[in-house]
Amino acid sequence: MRYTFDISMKNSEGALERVLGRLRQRSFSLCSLKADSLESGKEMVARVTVESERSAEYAMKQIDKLYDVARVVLNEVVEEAKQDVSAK
Amino acid sequence: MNGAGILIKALEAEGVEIIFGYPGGAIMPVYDALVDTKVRHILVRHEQAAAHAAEGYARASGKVGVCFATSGPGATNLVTGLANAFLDSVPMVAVTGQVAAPLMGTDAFQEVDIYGISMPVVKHSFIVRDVKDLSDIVAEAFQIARSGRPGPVLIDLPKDVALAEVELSELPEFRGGRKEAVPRPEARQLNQAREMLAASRKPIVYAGGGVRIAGASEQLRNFVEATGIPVVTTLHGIGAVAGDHPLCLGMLGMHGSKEANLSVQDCDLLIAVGARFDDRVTGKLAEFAPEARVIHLDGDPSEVSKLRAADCPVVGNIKTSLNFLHMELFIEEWVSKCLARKAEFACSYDAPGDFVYAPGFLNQLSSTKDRDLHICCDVGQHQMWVAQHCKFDAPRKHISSGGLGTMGFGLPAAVGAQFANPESLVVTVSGDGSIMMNIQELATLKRYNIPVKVVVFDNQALGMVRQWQELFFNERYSEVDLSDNPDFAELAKAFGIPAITVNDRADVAGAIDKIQSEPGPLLVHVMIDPRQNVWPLVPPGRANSEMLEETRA
Repeated sequence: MRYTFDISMKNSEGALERVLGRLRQRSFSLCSLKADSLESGKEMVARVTVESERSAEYAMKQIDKLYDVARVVLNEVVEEAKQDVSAK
Repeated sequence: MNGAGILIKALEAEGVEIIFGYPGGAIMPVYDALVDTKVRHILVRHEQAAAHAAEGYARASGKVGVCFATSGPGATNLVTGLANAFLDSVPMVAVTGQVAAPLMGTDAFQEVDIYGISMPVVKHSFIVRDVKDLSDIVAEAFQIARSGRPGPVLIDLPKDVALAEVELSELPEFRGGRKEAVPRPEARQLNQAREMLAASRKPIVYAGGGVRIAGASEQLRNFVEATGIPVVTTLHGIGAVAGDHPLCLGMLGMHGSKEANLSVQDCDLLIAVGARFDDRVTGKLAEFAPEARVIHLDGDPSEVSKLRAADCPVVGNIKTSLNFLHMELFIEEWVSKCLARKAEFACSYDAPGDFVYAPGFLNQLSSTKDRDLHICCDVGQHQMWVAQHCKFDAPRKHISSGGLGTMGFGLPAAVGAQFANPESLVVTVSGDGSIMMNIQELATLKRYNIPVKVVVFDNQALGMVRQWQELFFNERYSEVDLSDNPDFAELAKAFGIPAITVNDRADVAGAIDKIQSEPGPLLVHVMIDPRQNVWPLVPPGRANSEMLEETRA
């Protein structure tokens, strides 16, 4: 499955690195990323697309635990057509 | 006042009484500030031991453990301790010195990116960029470490920030960290749990380390009394109900008791309380408690339905949840079956042979109740024997490295546990493999005359690995022979610590007396059967009903 999450976080040193590290370590591989710090400089928003056989809920619970993360929203889910379901 | 002084004042403000650490270049300003404080600092002999001692202190006391290390190798030596605390949810604040901010990112002497290195194994971390933020950061670090699901927090302090002078009046008022309250469980889920309980004929409580974290031992015991449901525990759930309670079936999982594993496999309702369905507990996950519906009480939402879907997830304060679930159940037949199993599989401790029987030694040690006994384990066969054969009446008295399984944990953890409980009898139970991983801490015992008793079970091998090679690798023994061990008693004496060696079963009672009565530190070197294995054993990847048992006479 391919998931796109919208994540808003405190723009503190390493906050985005923590999000990406947590996703990687929990077996969500990165497909695309766009992140901006907002004008105030205090907040960062990221749109992250990842691919995994694990559930979106699993990723969201893990990201939500990060201290700097204010909010994580599942924006889109795409089932990959090419994937052989019987191989799971 | 400089940054280092502010750090120490902030630690005092948090009520810190003891710090475990090791000085070095980048953290020298902090050690300079320590000269002027009443907070006690314990010099360990390796930074890993500082982290484990802080963790032992935290586990035994319920307070936040604190450790210091310098930059570079000092900081990297802390990493195993941070990871250990992270996996076992132990509240800890680690302060590392860092090279001065202008040198960071230049490959300066003793510079490593400890902030980056430690990221996956801390609950949160900070680099202090401005001395004016320091007191807030310390307060926030403690708040994070102890709230919600506890864990380790790292503060990386550049040397120039530690030296920067600031007027106290310039410091901002403390704002307070983000409050991370454990939510109240939802009434709908609690009611569903009550319905499931009432409908159940074969319920089991599966209690984990979350009971200790939530301070919910009393509530768990009351729940068990009210419902009469038999209890199994994880490694970290040991002591959550008294080990000698009639309804306690002991530990479940890979080295769990037969009565615990078989009862879980049979049950129709599994009430998981602060437990996380770890692979060492479940065996083959798909065949774990196959008949059971699951009620999962936990403070951490990310653990609920992570590995086993909960039919009734109850996220929130465990105490509140347990109190709401009291009811009378009609499960006599089931309870009788569980208790009959418990009687049938009880260990007799009359092992054949002449060697000291380690399970018997431990059972005898934990049966002597005249002093408040805490046991800190290393990792391996002896750790499982402690879990199987010692009885604990409180969860904080059994201190074991569960999630990470860190050899070398036991001795420094006991240092911390003894400072948390100066009047208690604190015993490290170790093996001839594990003890060598932090043997230098005998010097710490000597320096502060810490009355920890160190029991080293010596089977001349890396016993647990040897056991697996025997059972699962066709007896192809690879790098497990330790028959050239040092003489551990002589080694202890070289550190100035009295020691005895026990070769014979007849000497066990005397050794246990000495453990009870020796006023200072003591090392007890116990020779055991090199072929003794840990039984029962669920082979990796198999269901918990497929336990292997001892076959050798």
